[in-house]
Amino acid sequence: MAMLSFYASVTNIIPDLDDKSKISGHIVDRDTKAVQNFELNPAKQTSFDLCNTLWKTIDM
Amino acid sequence: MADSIPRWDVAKKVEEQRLRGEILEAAQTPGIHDFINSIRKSMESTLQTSQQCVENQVELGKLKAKLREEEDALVKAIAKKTRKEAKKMALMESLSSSRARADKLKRILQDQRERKEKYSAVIAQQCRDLTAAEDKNTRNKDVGQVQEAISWYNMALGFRINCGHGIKFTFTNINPKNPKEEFSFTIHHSNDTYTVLDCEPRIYTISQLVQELNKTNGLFKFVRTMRERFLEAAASGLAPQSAYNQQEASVITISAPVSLTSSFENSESRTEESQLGMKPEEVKRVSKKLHERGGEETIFSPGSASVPRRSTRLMYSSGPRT
Repeated sequence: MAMLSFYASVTNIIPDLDDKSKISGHIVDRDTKAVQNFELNPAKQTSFDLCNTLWKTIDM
Repeated sequence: MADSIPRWDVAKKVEEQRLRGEILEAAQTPGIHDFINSIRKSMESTLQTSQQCVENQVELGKLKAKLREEEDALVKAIAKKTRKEAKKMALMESLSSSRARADKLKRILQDQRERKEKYSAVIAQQCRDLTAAEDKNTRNKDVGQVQEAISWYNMALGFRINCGHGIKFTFTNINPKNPKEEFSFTIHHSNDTYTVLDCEPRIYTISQLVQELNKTNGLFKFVRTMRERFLEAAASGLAPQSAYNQQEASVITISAPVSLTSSFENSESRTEESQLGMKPEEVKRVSKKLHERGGEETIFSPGSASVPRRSTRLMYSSGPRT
């Protein structure tokens, strides 16, 4: 549990695990309490690009 | 009475015959007077006896009748007694049967009670097992979900955290030429201070980043910043390719005037001092290191010619060759 919390805190991401065909979930900014949904389609990008796109979104 | 009459008649006749016999004997015996008196006494006695006999006969009849009545009563009483005996026997038998049944039921009750206790024990055990199984199932389910979520982070973000002596953060999808290449650092926290135990590949500004971390205590931000630094390190690793295309530009730069070099040297020294707060002798050592790395910097500089700092280093590094 603590480990999971660590992942969530570092990445500010809470994933949606229901739909395996998509990479989706919520990006939560702890300070501003802002919540943003994201949904990425693995079929359209490489895992490398998906990964880095997501990290850039995190650092917004 | 019919039976009595013939008997009475017979007795009477016998008596009469006996009297006649006595009279005859008396008549033939001397002493006639005494004889007559004797006969008179005898007749009186006989009459009395005869009357007594008649009375007795009547009394006997009455007694016989009473006896018959009593016999009837006795028979009835015996019959009644017999019935009571039978009833008693029946009751005793019934009682015995009831008692036996009671004993049987008592034994059944005892048996049921024992079985109840046994079943209670079994049920209690089953409840405990069920509770344990449910707890285990819940725990496994939770662990499964947690593991699933962590796997998501590992896969989608190329990000992994391991705990040991310190916490190791590992990133992939950093180097586009080799997405699986791992970039990692290990951080340790004790006495309210973070220290970096290991960093692969090496990040030269990490000590500065750690200082910032210890000031702000922003570990999560620090981790994200480290990923950016790894991206920069990986990107700078691509520079050699572009460097070859601008080899001449590098050569041209080397021929810069000496006076210009001296001017930038002073500027660089002041910059280092203000940034790092180092002492003069330390500044000299840093400058010396810059000299030593001059050759390496020369290779990189064409790719980032627009960056003023790096241009300054280029001018600075041309000193020894002059």
